[in-house]
Amino acid sequence: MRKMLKGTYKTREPRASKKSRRSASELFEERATEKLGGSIAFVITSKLLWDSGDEKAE
Amino acid sequence: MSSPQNCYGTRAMRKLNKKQLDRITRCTLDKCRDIGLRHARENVPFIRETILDLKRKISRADSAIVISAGPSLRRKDPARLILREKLSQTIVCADGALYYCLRNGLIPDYVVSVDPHPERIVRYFGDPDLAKTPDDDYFRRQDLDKAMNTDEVRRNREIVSLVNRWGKELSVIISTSVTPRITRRCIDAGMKLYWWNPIYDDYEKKGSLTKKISAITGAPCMSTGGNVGTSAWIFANVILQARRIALVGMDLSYPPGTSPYNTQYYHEMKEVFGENPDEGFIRIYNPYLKETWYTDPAYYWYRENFLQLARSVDSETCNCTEGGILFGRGIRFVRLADFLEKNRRVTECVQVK
Repeated sequence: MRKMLKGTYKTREPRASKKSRRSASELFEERATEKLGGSIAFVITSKLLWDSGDEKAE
Repeated sequence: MSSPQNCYGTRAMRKLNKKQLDRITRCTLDKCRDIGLRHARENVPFIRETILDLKRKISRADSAIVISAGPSLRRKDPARLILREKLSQTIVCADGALYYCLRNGLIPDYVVSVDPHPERIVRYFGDPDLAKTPDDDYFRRQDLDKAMNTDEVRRNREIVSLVNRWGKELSVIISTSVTPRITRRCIDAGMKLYWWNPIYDDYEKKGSLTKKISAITGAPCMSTGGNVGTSAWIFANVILQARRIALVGMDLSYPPGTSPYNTQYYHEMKEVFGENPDEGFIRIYNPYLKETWYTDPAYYWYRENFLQLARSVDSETCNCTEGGILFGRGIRFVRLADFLEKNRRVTECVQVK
């Protein structure tokens, strides 16, 4: 059945990519979050205090 | 210059999802990487004692008050209440709140500084070279501390004088990421300096910037939460090891009715959102206050970071800001007077025992 519905011609326009199908508000938010970084870097790590010379640091 | 009208009430940004928060994490690291490394190298000659040296010198704090510079500092003016209980509390302030503290006679035990901005942050310590600094409307425009955004030159002179007067009684918890102008300013004012590096990235991964800066400076690394206020709270947890921590001035947002013009990221918001910068704000209803506050993507990121961190610490954190959007699991949203009252009873109880 799928084969039958495949069609016999090629479309002129390529199928819209996943990226271009994103809504305007998503693009808007993407630009906003790229532009508005924080004061200083932050990532969640296993310790809040880490000292390379002393593994006993918390 | 006239301020744009407050036009909240049309479109607003949705709460950010994990992907968007991760993007802010990456963008912030990109923004800080080079300047953080450069400042760390320039600060090396000044590094004597670190926060680990401080930890060895002090005994565990029962309770601490962390003072940030959000709009509730002016709206609620907590200095008077804090002063009454000062003796039983350790006071940690973000650099942005230093002027508020000093002009109200509240001398903090510790001042935390982390933001690598090359010109702005030194103003919090009083900039002796303000006349040579490029013009910047950051302080004039913002509502964060009214006293900072009017008559800048006179205010700067006042901060210089207050910091010079009290410097010898202040300890600065200084990150290697700050401009050496702050370092020299703190040394000139007679402050004691305790150094640390921000945890920029996963120190366990190969090629980690944190590891590299740690090797250059020899200082320990501490998590930041993305901003100085949260860094101050982390300091109260891991170095002071405070059992109970109160937060004041930690709004991470703007009160209802604030014009976008008076917010921290106004120029950036205009760049992204054109004539409607208010569309970049996220509205958060605070059920304790029964009010809707406004926050921008960066402050929202700070809030989510804080909430994640709050679940990982042993201390009891009470948000006594009486404003803002910082509430959730691991944080008690209480009035400052109630925190101080409860704290007084606990302290008296321990003394009797």
